[in-house]
Amino acid sequence: MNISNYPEIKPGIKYFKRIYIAVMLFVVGRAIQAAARVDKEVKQEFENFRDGFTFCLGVMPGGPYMLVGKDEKGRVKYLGWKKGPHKLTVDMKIKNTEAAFLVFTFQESTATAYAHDRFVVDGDLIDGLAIVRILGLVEVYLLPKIIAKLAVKRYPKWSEMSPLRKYFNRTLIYTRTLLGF
Amino acid sequence: MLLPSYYEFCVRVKTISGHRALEKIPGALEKLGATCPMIITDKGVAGAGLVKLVSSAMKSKGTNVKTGAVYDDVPADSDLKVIKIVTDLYRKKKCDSIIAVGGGSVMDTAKGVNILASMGGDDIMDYAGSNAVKEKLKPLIAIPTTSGTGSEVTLVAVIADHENNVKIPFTSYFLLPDVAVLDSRMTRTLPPVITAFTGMDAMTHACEAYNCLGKNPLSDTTALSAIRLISRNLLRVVKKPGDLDGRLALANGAILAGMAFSNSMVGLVHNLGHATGGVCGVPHGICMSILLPYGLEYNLHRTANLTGELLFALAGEEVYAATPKKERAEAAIAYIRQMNQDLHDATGGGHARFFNEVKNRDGDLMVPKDKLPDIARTAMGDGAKIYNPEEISYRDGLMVMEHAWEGIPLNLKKVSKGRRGQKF
Amino acid sequence: MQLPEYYEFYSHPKFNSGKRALETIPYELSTMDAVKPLVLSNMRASGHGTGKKLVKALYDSPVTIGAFYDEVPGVASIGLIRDLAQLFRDRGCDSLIVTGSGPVVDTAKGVNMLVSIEGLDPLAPGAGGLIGQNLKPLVYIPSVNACGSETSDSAVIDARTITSDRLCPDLIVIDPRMMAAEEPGEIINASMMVLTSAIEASSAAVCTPISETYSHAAIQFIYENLSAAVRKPGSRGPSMALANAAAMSGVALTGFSAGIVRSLGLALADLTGLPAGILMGVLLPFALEQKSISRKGVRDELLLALAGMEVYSETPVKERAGRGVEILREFIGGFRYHIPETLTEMNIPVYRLGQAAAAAAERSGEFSESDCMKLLNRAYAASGIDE
Repeated sequence: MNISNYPEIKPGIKYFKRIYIAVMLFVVGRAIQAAARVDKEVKQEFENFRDGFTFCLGVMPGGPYMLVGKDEKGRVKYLGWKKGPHKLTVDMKIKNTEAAFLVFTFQESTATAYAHDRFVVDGDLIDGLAIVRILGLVEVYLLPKIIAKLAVKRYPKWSEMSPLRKYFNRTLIYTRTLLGF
Repeated sequence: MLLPSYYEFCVRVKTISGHRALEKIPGALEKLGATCPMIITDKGVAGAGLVKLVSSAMKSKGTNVKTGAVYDDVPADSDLKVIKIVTDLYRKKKCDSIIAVGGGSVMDTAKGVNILASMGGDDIMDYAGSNAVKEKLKPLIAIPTTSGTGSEVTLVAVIADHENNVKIPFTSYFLLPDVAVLDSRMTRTLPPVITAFTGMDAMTHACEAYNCLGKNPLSDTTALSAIRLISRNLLRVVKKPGDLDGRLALANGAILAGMAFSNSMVGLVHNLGHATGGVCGVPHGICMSILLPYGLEYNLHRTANLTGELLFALAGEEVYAATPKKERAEAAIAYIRQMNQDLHDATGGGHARFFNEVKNRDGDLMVPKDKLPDIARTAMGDGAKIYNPEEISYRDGLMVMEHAWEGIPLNLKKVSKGRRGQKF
Repeated sequence: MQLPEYYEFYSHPKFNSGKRALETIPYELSTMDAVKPLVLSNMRASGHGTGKKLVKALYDSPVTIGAFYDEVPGVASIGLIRDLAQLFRDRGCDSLIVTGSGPVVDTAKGVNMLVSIEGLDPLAPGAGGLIGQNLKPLVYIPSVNACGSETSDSAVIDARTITSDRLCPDLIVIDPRMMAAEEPGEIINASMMVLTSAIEASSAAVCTPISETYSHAAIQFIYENLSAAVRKPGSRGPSMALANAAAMSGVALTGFSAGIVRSLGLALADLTGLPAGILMGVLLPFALEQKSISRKGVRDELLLALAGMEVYSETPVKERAGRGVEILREFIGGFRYHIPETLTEMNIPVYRLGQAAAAAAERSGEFSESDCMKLLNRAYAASGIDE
């Protein structure tokens, strides 16, 4: 056997998918920060977290990531895309780039991705579920109904989210996400 | 047979089943490289002489296996603090493996102890979450004594935090026991009331596994086999507790149901059931029996076809053939309600059919109506809701609990329906 | 439903099946403390491009492929196994990934034995019993012509069978991208082996409720999907179902010795060079009709597995076993172009029958030579009328 015919193969990088996921995580992170100031339900979810609560959503093994936290004054902030200095209360990781791509292109809803064991969650699952609810609300705001319906299990009815609330908040969230406040 | 777009299935647990299966334990331990097991159990199990049965079955000639320690004070609800106490004892006695003899809370406690004993440290919350335990743990042998929780083959441990009134789930493939031993002697003296609700617990596992988002071909076939075994044997064994063949059949039904739901997960019934257990202290099996028909009703607009197939396993082939396809789902739900009624009658009223029938030893209502909002709120934090086909909001949970409290079938008009049908 | 008075059952492999399943490999390897697999496949993988797809699936992970050997031939032999074991050690590998069917996986199992246990000779008698520890992580990726033995606890190397429950793969990854189009004859050959294994496992006297769930699922998948897979080779849905069936049937077989049809099929294949699966496809209906399949006869559950709940419920109890056999014969008859009705049509010399019967009976020990001859004679004759 001529073993030089069978060399080692080092893993390559899926550039396009990683960039796409990084952009989506950035947008979602800033949108969560915005929604926490604009939407009463998201605000309420964050009020249930203690001060200093920080969560990370990212892709194994080495990113990209999105960190959001609540500072000592109770303000919700997008903390960037580096894990490093922050102590995480909940660390939600998607097991690989492909699975993350499925979630962020809405080929699999968050619930379906959980059912398919695509996630690893370090930390209290109760908090993890609250984060899933927050993500769901943010997706409803960010995405047109036809796409948001793929991401969430049940699109909110009028009684749960009136069109006025939805469109008004959507405008505010888009503006704040773009401008970063 | 449905092949979902993606699934995972793993039951890496050796199953030993028989009327004298306990005698295989020393050999199983030695094969795993262990000789000094700790027995974890509770006072009820010990009092019934079951631990003695295990110990004497383990005394076989030529074995190096010797019990290192016994802890028999696991509470009815596995507790965070108890895990620390038991782990300290494990370390003190230099044990190298665990034998769990008992029901769900004993199994969960044993899994929790195994995490700490194997991974080190003092705070099990360091390992909370989904897939947070990432290494092989020490050998664990599970011997169920109820009919049953299926915990002997699941990758889940649910540990109660009594200070905060919540239940904390730990899920990881590494939590699976190495060996599950089903021996009919272990449930022979199980009282009829407990047989009834633990049997319905197993039934719930199988029915939910068949309907929930993680559904897959192997969990489907295991679930249907489980339902057939349980529906054929449960009432019979409640009426005649000494029927050892029936006991073994129920134990097999329970383990199959455990295999099913461990891999396809559960939904609304466990979501609200865990919360009811956490807030009001109602035993898990009772919550399951009462909520099962409601769980199936709630998801009807999504999974009616699947619920209809359950009728085959529940009521048998003749009833299935005689029931028109459109009516099978309702017939399956009605069959389960009838099972609860039959068990209620067979246990002289001991098996509760709805929540305002659940009373404690002093005759007080365990689930007061004013606690229902708390239960619905607590359910929002329970992981099982993710795997339920339909979304469950606070209002949905409260609505279902109100119906389950009164004992009236769910008003389907009140169910907030997302899309119809479910893709897997 | 059969519940034995006593049983033991263990199923080791984890199944990951479906969309983007290949990409779960790095995470699963990490849970087994592995990062550098040796990848084995047969020559076809490179032809189909499935090899490239596998390599790409491991991107964005810490997994480095120690070497990708894609020339494993159609028979597992100790010479190649030793060479590959050396390659494994030279490259510092810590796990194995194998894609393909039958002999490729047997080769991987052989390599795993050599690299995990020093000084073990797989061909020595009783070698399987000497494997007292876990082997290195083994990941198996089925192709559409997987025949079931891959996920079982045995390996055939240089015509010797080694059995140990440590040989089973740790992880089975079934991904639609690895379902390359194969020749219809190949697909049918493999599926008949799978179907035979599954039916025999569920008919065995020691069939357990747990193994039955695997065999039931396998039988149903083959019955519902084989025609579509043959009509349009490479179609993802049916191919995935067949690959799932193969993986499940291997697990169902774990701990059982091969049944009469499987043993005779393999023995005749060794003697005549004809495809084992096709031979099994000829023998299977006769074995069921003749009730050779098991001392207990044909179980009602066969009808349930094949035709589903509706048909099962509507068939009177006494007729279920017979109806199951009828449906199976009709099903196999649907592939008449590939599976002849009798052995005569395969031009097998009569003297081979006796040789095959002797070999099968000796290998198995569960049935006698005369049981085998009875079945072979029946399958050889032109008519299939009950005696």
